[in-house]
Amino acid sequence: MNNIDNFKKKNPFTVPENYFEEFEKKLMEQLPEKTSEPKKQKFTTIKKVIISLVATAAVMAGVMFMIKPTTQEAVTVAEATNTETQEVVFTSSEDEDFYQFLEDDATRKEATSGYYVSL
Amino acid sequence: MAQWNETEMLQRLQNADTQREAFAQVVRTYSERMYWVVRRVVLSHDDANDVLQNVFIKAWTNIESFKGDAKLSTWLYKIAVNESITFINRQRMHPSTSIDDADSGLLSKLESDEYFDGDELQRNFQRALLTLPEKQRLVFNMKYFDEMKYEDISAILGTSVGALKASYHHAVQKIRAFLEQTD
Repeated sequence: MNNIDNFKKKNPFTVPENYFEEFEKKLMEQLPEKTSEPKKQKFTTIKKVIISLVATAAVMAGVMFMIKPTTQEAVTVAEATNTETQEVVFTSSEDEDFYQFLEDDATRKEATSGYYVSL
Repeated sequence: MAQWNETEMLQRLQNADTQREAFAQVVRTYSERMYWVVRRVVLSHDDANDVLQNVFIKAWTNIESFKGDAKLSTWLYKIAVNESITFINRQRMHPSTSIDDADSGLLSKLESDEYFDGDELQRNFQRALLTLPEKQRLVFNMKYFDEMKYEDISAILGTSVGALKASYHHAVQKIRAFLEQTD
């Protein structure tokens, strides 16, 4: 037999009756439960941490800018401000509302950045 | 054939709340297609059943890594091909099994398989297919039985369309020569 096209006409392989219907049912029963948390939540957590770190760095940079004058008065003010700022950051580190505010703030900045660039 | 929007399905598969239900729909839609990919490589129904389960368990376990860069069917095809080849290689790696023994093992399993009702010509055709190198047999199966486009086969096997055409041509020649010899 030289014409191999003839072998396509009849499939010699068969399957048990209702095999595919039962396969789905059996497979779904034995699928392991997913134990890891949904990715979206992980992403949000990481995002929140990054935003809080960036915000802290920004506040610290602001404080450093303020203490640049070398007069005793300026240093005193800077120390006071620095202490105050750190307290605020520490207090807020577990505050979901604060994180939400930072996230919203970052979103607002992203949304308006085009405006500033175009200036 | 999938009756859904791929983007929407991907979102459902990535969402913990809808993931399991969406995956059941994937199994319902693709199990038959994937079964025939596997069955034509491993030949016996029992082995095909085991390998097919592994295909979907692997897909389920790795569903988070599927980003939708390729079509879901292409991704599943790849897993099915890999699992089938792994199964065959595992049989060949058995210390007391040569490649010829492994192929004749596949054939003897087929002959004793109650879910094979081919005649002597069909058996001989399967013998001819088993003389092909593994990848050539895969290319032949996808083109001859599944009537896939070379571009789609290329996406699954990662081989150029030109090489696939040559591979299919050689496979047909070898099968013809085998059948002439045994006629």
